[in-house]
Amino acid sequence: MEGHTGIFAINYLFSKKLNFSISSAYTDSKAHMERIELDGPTAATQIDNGTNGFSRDYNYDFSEVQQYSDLHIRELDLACSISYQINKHFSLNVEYNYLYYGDAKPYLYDGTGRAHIGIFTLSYWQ
Amino acid sequence: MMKKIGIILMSFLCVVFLSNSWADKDINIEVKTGIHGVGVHESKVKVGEYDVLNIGVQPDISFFLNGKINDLYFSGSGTYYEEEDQQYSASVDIKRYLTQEFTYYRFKHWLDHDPLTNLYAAATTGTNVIPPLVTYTDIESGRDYSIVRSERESKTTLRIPLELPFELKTFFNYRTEARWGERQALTMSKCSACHVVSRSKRIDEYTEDYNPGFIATYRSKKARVSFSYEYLDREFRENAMAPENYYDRAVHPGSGSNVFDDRVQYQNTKLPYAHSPRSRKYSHIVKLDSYVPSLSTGMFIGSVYSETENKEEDLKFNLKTIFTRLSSAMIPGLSFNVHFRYLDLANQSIFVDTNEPVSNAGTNAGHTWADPSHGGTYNTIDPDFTRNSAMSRRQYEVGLDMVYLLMKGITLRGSYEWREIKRDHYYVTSNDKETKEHRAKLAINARFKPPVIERPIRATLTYKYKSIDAPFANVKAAFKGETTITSNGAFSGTQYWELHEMRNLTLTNLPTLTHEIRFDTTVPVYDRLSVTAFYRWIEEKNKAVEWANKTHMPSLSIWYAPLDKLSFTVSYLYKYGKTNSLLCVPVYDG
Repeated sequence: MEGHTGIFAINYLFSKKLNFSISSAYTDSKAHMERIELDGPTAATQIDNGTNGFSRDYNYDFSEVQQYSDLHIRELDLACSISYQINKHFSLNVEYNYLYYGDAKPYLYDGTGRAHIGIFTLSYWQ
Repeated sequence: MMKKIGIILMSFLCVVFLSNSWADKDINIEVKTGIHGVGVHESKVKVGEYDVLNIGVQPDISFFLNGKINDLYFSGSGTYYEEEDQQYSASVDIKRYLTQEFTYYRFKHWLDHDPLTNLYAAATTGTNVIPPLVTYTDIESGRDYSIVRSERESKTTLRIPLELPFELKTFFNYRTEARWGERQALTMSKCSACHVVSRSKRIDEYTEDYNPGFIATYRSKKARVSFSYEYLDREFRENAMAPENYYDRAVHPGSGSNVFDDRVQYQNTKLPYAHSPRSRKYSHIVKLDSYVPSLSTGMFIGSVYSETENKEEDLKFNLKTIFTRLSSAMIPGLSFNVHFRYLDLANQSIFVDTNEPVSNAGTNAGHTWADPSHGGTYNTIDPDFTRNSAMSRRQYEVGLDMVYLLMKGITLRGSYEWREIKRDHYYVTSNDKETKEHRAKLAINARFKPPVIERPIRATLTYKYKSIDAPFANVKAAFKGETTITSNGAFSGTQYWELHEMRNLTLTNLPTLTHEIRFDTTVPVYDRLSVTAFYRWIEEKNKAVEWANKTHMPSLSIWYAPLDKLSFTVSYLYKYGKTNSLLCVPVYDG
């Protein structure tokens, strides 16, 4: 299992009334199983079951089993906001948020998704 | 939607208008209102697991206020983001005699939907075709599942206004927790998961707590003593009906003949599954806390007795625990705690009277499987059994914590804890039901000014050690070795229960030895530059089962403000982990 997470944020005061900020968090994480090693015989064993009309192999070959559980997920959370102080009681804030979840090794289903969120806020304080 | 916008806008304007009339009062208020728009592509289950993510534009509002009017102190906050994403809190203090706190929150949690397609993994094509021996039916394929959770809590405390030699307070706390929505419910039909069925299960759970009590406190120059008692009455119920499944007739997958009728608990019938039973819990908590200032020493004793009952099966489990701690800072530069805990957990055993149907046809016609008089030559057991609980135990714990000021700015911390778990019924080795643990910790905290930087640096280095003798394990986890089985059909060959009894390997995924090192430091290089570094290393082993786990976690954070108006924050975290474990190859897995 291995994961990398990077976080970056900037905050800039254009003026006493205008503020800009941007922040992001990115994660890249992987998990996998290594080759499975068994004690004893690993060759396929023929089991002849003539009463049911077909034969089965009980296969001890696990050489591909580890691939079934491979995981590789990438996530991004990005937010930008601008806030403007109108006067000593009111301020405006505009924010954009981008969310990404990436399933780079889907197996049963692909969980990839993206979301965009825009926010507009008027604040009042006494 | 327009109605919601109107209500929120009116609320905002009302607050603005009313706050002007409070300008001369000691009241602070902040309110925010606005709109948010959401767009989602592909799946939203993972990208917004705890977000509502309703597509479109929605209004929202939040507020914060606190203040004082004469002897009344109050504060409150709240956020309405979406119908399923809200939180509120409020508190009132009247002359310090009566305090009232209230909290409420609600949020949504998206859940996975397992498509079950991996069940065909054992099938093969080509020369030797093996058809899917494990099949599945997903009744509501692709359906989105989610649960909304809400909690409401009220805490009322009354200080009794009487002239008593001690201060007396009574309290009454009330809490409700609700969960509603849908989740996936799986069940299996016939012979260890030959046919797996997935269906939606409605969730409508409700938990209600009543929690009254009192606290009596005596204060003088010589000592402070406090005694408290509280009672808890908790009820849990699931109001939604359990889903039902039709359990197929157990026929041979090849021939289609009805040969398993004496060996299955139920077939050819519709039955409920994934049912959450109603339960009730009562508990009594008593605490005695004392402190003697002249000795810088305090003593705490606490005890809990609780009883939890499954109201549908008349099953109970009781918990009794006593905890005591002695804390002292009598010796200059040294403070220590010594604690002792005893726990007795008793979970009721239950006799499981299995259904033993009589075979209608075939070799065993007219007999149950366990009846040896039919002429078969296989070995039988009585399928009825008593389920004893692995939870039932007595647990003892003794610990010591110390903090010593080595010199100015440097503190040494150390602790040791011994724990023993004695289980009533469950074996963790072939002949032992006990687990023993030793835990030790050593840490050094430093705050100093190095010569070059001339600014205070903070650093902490910690080492933890754990040794566990006989951790929780399964003593019949797997079979290792060689053996002979008889494969002469169901009524003269080796039976499933005999294969299980052959298991001779004790396995666990818990360690017997753990080492952990942790280091973190914050260095303010300049007024405008600060660096924080962190590192954690964990190594866990259990040589008896060839199990090991290693984890490394370094991280670095930098804060830099080149200008008064501009600042940057950059962080990087790396995590590496590796686990070695044995693999069990399943035999007779359906």
